Amino acid sequence: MTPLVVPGVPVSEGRHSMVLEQPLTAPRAGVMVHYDDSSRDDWAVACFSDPRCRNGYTWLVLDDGAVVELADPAKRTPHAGPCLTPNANSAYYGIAAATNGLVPATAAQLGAIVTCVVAVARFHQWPAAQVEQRIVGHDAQAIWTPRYTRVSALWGKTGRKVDPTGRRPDHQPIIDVAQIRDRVRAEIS
Amino acid sequence: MSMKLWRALESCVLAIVTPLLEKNPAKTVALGVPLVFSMSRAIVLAFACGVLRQMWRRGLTGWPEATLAIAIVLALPLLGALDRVRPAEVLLLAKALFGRFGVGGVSQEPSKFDDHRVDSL
Repeated sequence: MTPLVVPGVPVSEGRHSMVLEQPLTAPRAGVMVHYDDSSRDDWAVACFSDPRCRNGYTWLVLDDGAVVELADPAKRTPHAGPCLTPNANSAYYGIAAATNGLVPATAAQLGAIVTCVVAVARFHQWPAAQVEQRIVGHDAQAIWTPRYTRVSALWGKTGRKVDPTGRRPDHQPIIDVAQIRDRVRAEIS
Repeated sequence: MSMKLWRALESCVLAIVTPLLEKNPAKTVALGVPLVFSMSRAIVLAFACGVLRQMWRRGLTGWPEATLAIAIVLALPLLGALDRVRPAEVLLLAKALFGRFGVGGVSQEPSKFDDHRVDSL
């Protein structure tokens, strides 16, 4: 089956089927931003060839802004897990910067993420007024469930994941989702 | 001369085994023997030997080995402290420790081993 091509997404390399991909269980509602906790681009890409890998994104953005398409954009990938939004793996495209909780995303990575999100927004004809709800960070959505903690007080609450903001001691975000939204809003207005 | 050598050897052996001797007078006073070995200290020593051998052969590869090494270092002071508290307090401590299993064991940082295939509650 021919993979979906989202016009405007600057794919440098297509590596479909590198991650687990399955048909959508919900219509696309937005884009979820992540970082993948990697320290080198080649290792980051190689990780998704590891059969033990149970995590994956539609697009992985390398340090120089190159976009690697890891899965068919028409399919869901296991990038979100349990979230405030039901069926988040399907509801959101997963886009990750190849970096970790210490190194902020490069300007090229942020630029490429904005380009991809703008392309997706135009493809789905999402208006600029909906940018707030369409572009989300994993940390703002990922919730605790009994599968992840025995502390019942946490179930249903966010905090299960810290990407893409991260927890740098100087509080500088690895990826500032608000800034991404502003740039996307400016592009599609 | 041989007597002197024997006494020196005896002192040396005594010094070596001192860490393994029972330090709690309540456990030694009734026995009427000059040296009483502590079973818990002997177990800690045996465990340390086993872990040291494993690390010697395989190396220190991660937190599990490091945690075991830390546990061994802390074992004797903890045993000494536990000797002085009531059994009920020891049980409470054990309960609190075991109660922590499965809590906070999930990293909030992303990982390729995160299994995010299930996205429902």
